[in-house]
Amino acid sequence: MLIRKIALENTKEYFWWVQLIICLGIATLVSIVFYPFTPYLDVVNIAMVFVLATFMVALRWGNIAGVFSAFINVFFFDFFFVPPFLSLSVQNPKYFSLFGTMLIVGLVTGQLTARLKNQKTEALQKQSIAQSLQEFSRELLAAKNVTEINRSIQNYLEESFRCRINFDVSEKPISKEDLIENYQEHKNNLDSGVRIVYEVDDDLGKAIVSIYFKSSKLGILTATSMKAGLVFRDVENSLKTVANLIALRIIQNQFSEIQEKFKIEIEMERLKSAILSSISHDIRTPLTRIIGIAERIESSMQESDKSHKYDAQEIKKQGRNLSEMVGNLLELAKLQTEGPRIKKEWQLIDDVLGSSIKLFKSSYPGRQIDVEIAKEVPPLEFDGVLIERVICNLLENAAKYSPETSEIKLVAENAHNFVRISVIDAGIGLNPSSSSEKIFEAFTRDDLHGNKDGIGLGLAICREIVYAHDGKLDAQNNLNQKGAKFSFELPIKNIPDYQIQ
Amino acid sequence: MISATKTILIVEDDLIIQNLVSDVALKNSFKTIVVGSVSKGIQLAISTKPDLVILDLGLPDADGVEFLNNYRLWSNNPVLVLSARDSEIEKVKALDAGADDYITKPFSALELAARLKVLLRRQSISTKNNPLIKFGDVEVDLSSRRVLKGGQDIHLSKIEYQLLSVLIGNSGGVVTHRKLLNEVWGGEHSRDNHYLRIYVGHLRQKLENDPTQPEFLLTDMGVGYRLAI
Repeated sequence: MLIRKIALENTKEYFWWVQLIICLGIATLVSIVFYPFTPYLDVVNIAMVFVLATFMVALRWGNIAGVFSAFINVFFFDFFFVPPFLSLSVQNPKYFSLFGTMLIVGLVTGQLTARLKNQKTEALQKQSIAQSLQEFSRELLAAKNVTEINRSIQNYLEESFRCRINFDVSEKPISKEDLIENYQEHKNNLDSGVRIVYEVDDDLGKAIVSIYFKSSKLGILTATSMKAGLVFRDVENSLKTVANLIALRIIQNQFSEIQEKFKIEIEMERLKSAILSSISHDIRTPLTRIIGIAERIESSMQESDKSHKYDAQEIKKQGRNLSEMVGNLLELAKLQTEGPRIKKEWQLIDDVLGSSIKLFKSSYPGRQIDVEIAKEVPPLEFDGVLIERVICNLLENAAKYSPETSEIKLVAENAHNFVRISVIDAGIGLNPSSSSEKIFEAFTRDDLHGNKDGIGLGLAICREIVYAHDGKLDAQNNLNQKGAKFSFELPIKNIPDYQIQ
Repeated sequence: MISATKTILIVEDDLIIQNLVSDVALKNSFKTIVVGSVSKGIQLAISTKPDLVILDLGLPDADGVEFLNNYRLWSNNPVLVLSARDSEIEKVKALDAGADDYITKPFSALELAARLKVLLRRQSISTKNNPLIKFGDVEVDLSSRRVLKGGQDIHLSKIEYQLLSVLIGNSGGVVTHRKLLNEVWGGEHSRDNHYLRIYVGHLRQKLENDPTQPEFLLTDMGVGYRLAI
């Protein structure tokens, strides 16, 4: 313990010639002090003093000083204290064992001290690395970009690592899409611990640590030794820790950036839908007044006042058309800006067909619908409200462009991996030259249809909704009879077990 | 015609619409009280105890749902929501807060009158303590739990009968999925809409003439079901 303490207290290293001079000085001092006692003391006692001196020197200044001291002390002892005095010749061979002992003491002690010193230096460096890592990791928490990360490295690591360390971001970071798509997975990886892969390439005075996160390269950490030949093995593990810390920071930064973006997007969407719903409310209120007043006038008119009654009815009708148009516009705006908020649920097609017909009949009470649902049609996963809208729009479209007494058919059947729902009318049909796709675009109406009410939004809404369900949509004329057939298809999927009773 | 004159409280802030709604009610021989805010609505509801409330949602001092929250603490009389908000979410919110039915603006006077009558009739049915309910050719005897269609006995499973009786109890109004699931299956199933669809399908098969175009057991997509009597 004591030895270790002495050895650890002094970290200074002298040049070899300074050590030589110190050894000479000590040997001279011992010789001067003990020379007068030669007649009184046995020579072995004096030898012990020299051994002790060698021991102390080796202990204090290490290996080289120990060897110097051993040789010099043997020389001085022999010269001044071993008869014949003031000569290097030795009369009695027993002194040789004494010389040997001194040499061994010097060497062993020196060796021991040197090893302790090394251990001490190592321990100190490790301690300083650990401490700087700790400080670095704390500083890193606040780092928002690569510059700040590099600043933290310079401030806290370079000195204790005795390297120039630099971090460069990879040219191809993890793509945002990947992060968003696998957000939960990445987050779990971050939370659970093991996630970063690295390669260490030992080069000439350089260590390169590539930082990977999953299979994407985040960047490269380069450490360049300040002293030639520094063994990177000492700091390799610490470099890996640094790489880990940096990777974590970068991933966390990327996550928080994305989260920030998400927040803004959510806020924007909230704002948009707030605007839409306030517009919708502000337009509906005057429309409600107009329609209500027209209705009141209509009901208060005498049967005899036919033309005024007709006018009032027309105001009411136009008010309703306008209201429907506004509804469609807002709905389309909502679908296109926010994307359809689909709430898919497993359900039977029968239910939605029935309720669509009911909804349709509120505008066309007199029209008869012929429904055919094939037995093999399985339950489907869809948003009932939106699909009801699609079917109702198609039915209204059919009713608008066919004679009032003609038949409208609503058919649901299997078609490969889809269920096909068709609305078939016996009306004027489509212009054969206009493409099926164009019909479903907003503000487009088939030229055959002439001056009908509406601005062509109903089918555009259908298209948005069906596409959002990964479905298909098409329009064509009936093969063997007049009229058109509008169809859409919804994909058949395997119903999950928990949904089956 | 309903026996004693019924009072309708109209909570609506737009003066013209107030007037129009009031006209519809008066024309159908109801008495009306008109207010323009939630706080006054609550006050007048307490002092006049109306038979039915017509409620707008976007009111100047608070959301109409707050009126419902208060009113449902002490009254079971029907509430008909009349609002420009047409999303299913808004409808479900109002219905779950205790509204019985929902009409969106612009409304038709005829439809409003029809809904008012249905809601008030249901109220008088429940006060009359009549165990016999009829719709179409279906007769339900609540006392003996018998269901007849065209004079023929129809066997309903326990759940089907329970579902039907909840719908009868709320006839004329919409019952949300959540409420139906709660009352028929209990709280832990309040999200399994799938059960509900299957059993409503069964009921339609047994009670409707054309199950694909039901007349009585109607779906309000995204909101719930109603029994139209």
